[in-house]
Amino acid sequence: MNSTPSKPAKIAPPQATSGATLPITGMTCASCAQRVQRALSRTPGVRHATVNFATERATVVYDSAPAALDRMVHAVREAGYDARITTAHLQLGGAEMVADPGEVERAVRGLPGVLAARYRPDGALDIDVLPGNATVTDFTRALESRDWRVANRAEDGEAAAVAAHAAALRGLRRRMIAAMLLAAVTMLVSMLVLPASAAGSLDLLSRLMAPAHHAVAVALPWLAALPAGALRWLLLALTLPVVLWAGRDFYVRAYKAFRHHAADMNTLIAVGTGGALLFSLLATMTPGLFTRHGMPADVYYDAVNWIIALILLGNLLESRARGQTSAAIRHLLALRPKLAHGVVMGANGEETVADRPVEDLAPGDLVRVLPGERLPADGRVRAGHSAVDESMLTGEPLPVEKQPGAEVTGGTVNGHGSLLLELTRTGQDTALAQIVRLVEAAQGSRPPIQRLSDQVAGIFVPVVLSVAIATFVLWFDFGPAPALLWAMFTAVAVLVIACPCAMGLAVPTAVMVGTGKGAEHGILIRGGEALERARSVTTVLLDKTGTITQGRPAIVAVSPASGESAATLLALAAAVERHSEHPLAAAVAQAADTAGAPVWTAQNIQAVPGRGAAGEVLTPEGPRPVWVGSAQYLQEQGISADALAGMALPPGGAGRTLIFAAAAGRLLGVLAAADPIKPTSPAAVAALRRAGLRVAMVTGDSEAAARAVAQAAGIEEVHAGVLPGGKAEVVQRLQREGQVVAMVGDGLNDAPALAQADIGVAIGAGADVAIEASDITLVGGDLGAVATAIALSRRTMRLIRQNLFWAFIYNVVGIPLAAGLFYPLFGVLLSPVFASAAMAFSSVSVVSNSLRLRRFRPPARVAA
Amino acid sequence: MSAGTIAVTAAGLAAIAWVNWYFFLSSPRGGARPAARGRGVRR
Repeated sequence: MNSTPSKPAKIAPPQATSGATLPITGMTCASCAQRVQRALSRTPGVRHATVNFATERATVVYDSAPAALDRMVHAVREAGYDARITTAHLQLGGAEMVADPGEVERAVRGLPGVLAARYRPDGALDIDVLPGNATVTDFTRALESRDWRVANRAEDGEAAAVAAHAAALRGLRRRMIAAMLLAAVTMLVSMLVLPASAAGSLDLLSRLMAPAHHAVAVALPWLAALPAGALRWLLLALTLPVVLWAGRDFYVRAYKAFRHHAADMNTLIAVGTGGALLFSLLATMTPGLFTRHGMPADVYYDAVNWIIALILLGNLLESRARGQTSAAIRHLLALRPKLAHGVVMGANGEETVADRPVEDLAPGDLVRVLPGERLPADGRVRAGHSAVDESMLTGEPLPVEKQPGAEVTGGTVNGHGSLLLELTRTGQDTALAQIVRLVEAAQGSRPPIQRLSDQVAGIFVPVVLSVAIATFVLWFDFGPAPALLWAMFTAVAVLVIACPCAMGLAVPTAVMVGTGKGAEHGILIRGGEALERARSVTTVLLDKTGTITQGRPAIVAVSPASGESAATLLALAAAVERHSEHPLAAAVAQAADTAGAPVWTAQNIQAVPGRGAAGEVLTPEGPRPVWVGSAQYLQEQGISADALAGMALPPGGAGRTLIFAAAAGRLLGVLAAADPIKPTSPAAVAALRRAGLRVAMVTGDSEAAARAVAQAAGIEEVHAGVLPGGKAEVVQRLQREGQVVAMVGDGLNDAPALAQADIGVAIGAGADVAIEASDITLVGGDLGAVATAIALSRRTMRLIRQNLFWAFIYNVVGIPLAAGLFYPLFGVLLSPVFASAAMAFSSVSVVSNSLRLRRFRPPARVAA
Repeated sequence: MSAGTIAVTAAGLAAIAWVNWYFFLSSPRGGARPAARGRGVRR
């Protein structure tokens, strides 16, 4: 092997690979996601598959081959789930020009996520596609690149996904309500079948129900008059719709899982209710078999119905919760307008405006944004002035002034001016789309703690089946008469209580709400791993420039020479500096604007890089030659060193840059520029301290300049004079001391330190940040978000531990109780009906515990 | 011990053995292990 191994050669696959996302339906808990992932991973040609339970999507990398996607969809269906496929309907104009229908179909079939395409001679083209991959716009482009005109089309995108989810939810609700009603009726009727001597029964439930039995008998005498045999058949009739229709999916999925040597919650439900059903069926059809042996021909149809109804209720609540937790993403997506005013420039510069769907926009297009409208995509201002509200992206409440040449971001809100934009990024490339993807990916990612619950869930089901069989045997061998009945009863209860669903929900729901909550506060967390690690941070290392300070100089003091006014000094200096793009020059111009100094123009500008600039300023009194720059520059222009040294310097310490101005050989005054600290920084540092964290600052500046900033921000520990590469060494040194270090930097020159730190936090304004290099990205420039992120991590991890406790406690207490372990001691048993209620309750309590995180408030704001 | 008791006990033990064999040992990829994770290595 050469010392410079060629990277591509190592990675390059023998075949070209493609990527696609598959929307998966029918997953009810995290172990389902695991099963789909395994099924996809085993599909021939699939290199890598991850399934995100939260977003209900599978991301697959596979060898490009015909029918590869079909095989994957087949694998998902085999595993007992489904991949949602939508059909896009396009109408081709000029169909007579198409010689070969196959040619049209091939043109779109190669696009990501396309399963099939059907072209009809009348020009209609139906494309079966997995949502989230190629869109109608992509199809249109592919077709138009071959000179086929797409006349009209039906949109089938995000709206269809929302509609499909809503339809699934409606179907689930319908089945749940039906099952609930039937379960209630079944329970009522069952009371009449219960033996009148139920008071002596072993089961807690039967004893509780004895008074109800009499009540029903009194209320519905005609029903009570029916013979027990007829009632049992009536109960069977009430149960079949629940099993065959409402709960059908459980059995289908359980069977498919079984064929793959896998078992999950569906297996438990199917085996549990199936056992109870078969037992009851036997008692209904041949009650004599039981009565001959002195056993009552009891039926458990009500238990079967309740189990299915309550589990459906749990599924429904979960689906709803999942919908709520992804509200953060929907909120972000809603920021994107649907239509844009497309502009075509005529030869004479006149504008022709036509509204176009945002999906149609491409980089280079011109769009007009009217006052108050949202910007359709990322771009650059071509003409017009306006203040743009970027708070959704940066958290900065004040609108940002935009002039021609300024970069703007899609989704932000235009102020009072009208802007003409030239788009630079559209569709999936915009900053907004990137943020949505990041949040989506993070919401479904698994923190290391999840591995524990995954492993437990993986072995749990076979173990529970073993326990259920052992329970059956022990009750049969040693239990009271009728032994078969009690063996059956307890084994079914064990299977029902043991559903690991709450365990599977414990981590993903908390991560989902946690990362979603972070996004709401402008904190983009890279994944569960970052979320888990951020909790244990002990030291926060802050970069100075751009993190604690604003990162661009501002004029902090103005000192005019005697006989000159500050306004005149600023006006003259700004007139010359407006022609320069140097940050200091921009600071001077801004200071003049802020101070309300008169705006004069300058001509014959001569700039000396690194020194200053000179020009002729056209004042109302006539043109005045003006020099602006460093002391050295003005000395070269004939200003005496004594005059410069004698300037009354504004008070202030190190870290300032002085800008002198002179007119016609006479000194006008001096301006002091500095990089001011962000107004939010001191409060942010205080919040970090309150959280018990060690706060330090690292900078390349001199010790004195660094101390001044550190003092203003309230930081005591300063690492000054550090080169950019040396920042990583500072992180390392702290880590050797045993600190868990979070490095906060602007993400560009601090990259090595961000990578070295346990948690790299990139701070900056959305689009331009090197998100890839950090674990956490703070979209706004507010340092207070660091404390918020750490607090959020701590809260989320605490929640996960609580959730795991709640999920485990149900199983730990429930299984021995259901198995009848306490029966010999206390005479306590758990009916399968109670077991199913407890199981549904455990899922609900875990989900609602996670949803408590939605009330999370940033600590800095709470204190303020 | 009745014949029924012995039969049920034997059948139960066999069933437990079979369940554990089917789900843990006979599975095509070595059982109900969680799928391998791609991540986990820090930058």
